[in-house]
Amino acid sequence: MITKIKEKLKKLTIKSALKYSLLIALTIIFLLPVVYMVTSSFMSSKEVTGMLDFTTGEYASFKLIPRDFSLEQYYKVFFRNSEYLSEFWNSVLITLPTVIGQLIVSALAAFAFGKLKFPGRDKIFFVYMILLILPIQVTLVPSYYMYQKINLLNNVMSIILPGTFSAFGICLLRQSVRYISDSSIEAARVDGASYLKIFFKIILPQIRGGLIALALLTFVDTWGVVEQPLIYFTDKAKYPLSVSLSVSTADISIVFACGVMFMIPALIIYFLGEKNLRSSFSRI
Amino acid sequence: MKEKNIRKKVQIGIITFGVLFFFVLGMLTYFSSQIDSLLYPVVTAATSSTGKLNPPPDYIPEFDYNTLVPSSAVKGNKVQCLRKNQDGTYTVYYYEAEIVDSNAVQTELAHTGDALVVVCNSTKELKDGDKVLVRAGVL
Repeated sequence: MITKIKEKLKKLTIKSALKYSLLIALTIIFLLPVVYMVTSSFMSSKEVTGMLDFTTGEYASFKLIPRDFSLEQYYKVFFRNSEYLSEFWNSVLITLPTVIGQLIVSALAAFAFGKLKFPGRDKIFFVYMILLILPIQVTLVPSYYMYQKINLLNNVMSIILPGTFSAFGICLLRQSVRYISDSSIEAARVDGASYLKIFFKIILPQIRGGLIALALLTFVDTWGVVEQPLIYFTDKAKYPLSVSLSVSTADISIVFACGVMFMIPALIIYFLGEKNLRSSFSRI
Repeated sequence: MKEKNIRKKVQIGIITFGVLFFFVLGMLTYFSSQIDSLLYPVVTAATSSTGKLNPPPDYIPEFDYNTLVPSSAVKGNKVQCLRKNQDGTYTVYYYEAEIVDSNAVQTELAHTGDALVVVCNSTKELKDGDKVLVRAGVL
């Protein structure tokens, strides 16, 4: 092991040393907020509130390492503030149907846009691409008006439905579908297979990696949703945890432990689908 | 092959951790009300009234706005009160009042404005900001 490291060090040129230094610096910059959140979650509530000067909203002192190791924040989150647990499940209630819905809709639409020939196919896809580049804030007010008309305000469907029919998933999976050779589909058609059978037997197994990558990205996107619940939900009991962690009324003394609890599902999903995410992005 | 085995073991570990994490959170949420009743101090509460402990002979109750609270709610010159939160739970706060008169049962405070919800007794020592469970039927 040590000899291997020594050999690598011998090969290290100034150029590669600079490259690694830059990468290490960038890694530290990206990881610092996460490390800070995890270490701060082991501070006592008193220590956390002492770090912030509430009169100015600025840090009175910045500490990365807790003075006294304490599980007080976790105790409060898990045993004394059940509203945070309810909000966690609100997040699950919004995220899970969105992920499942988007996988189904995107896979079918990607198959249609990628392999089927029908009039106006590319024009419709172009419209979808425009939807992809529109920021969410642009459509918030018209969507609010629409949900009001169809009585979907204060309903989780107001977040699940737009997530399910998001253009991003279709664009991502269309790329995976286009990699499948036309000859295999034509052969199946000659053998009398229906389009639905082709979709399930040929397309789905081959875009498995793309589906996992899409599930991961949709999960992360929906898990951290803030604007839509704030605008569409009037009942605060329906807010997901992402909203409570973002608004200024959050209990700052336990916010770090809440953050860790909120981060764990995203990390689990990431570690499970990370390999597929990389291979899927290399195809775009 | 060895690397594949390690990757598979790691994946199984992550899935197990994920299932356990969601299971534990599910249980904690499902039993949260039972956990609350085990951990939170249970208090008996009462609403303050108006009047005078030792009324003079010319006392007219309609014109008197002093506040009467149970003496057990008074700690020094502060009164243990309850504030109702948005989620329906109660939090303890200490109200600093001017004590006019008192006996073993009741304490007379200078006019307090709105009626106070005070803590008559508690199963645990209470601090400012503590969440409590109020025994039903006393408010």
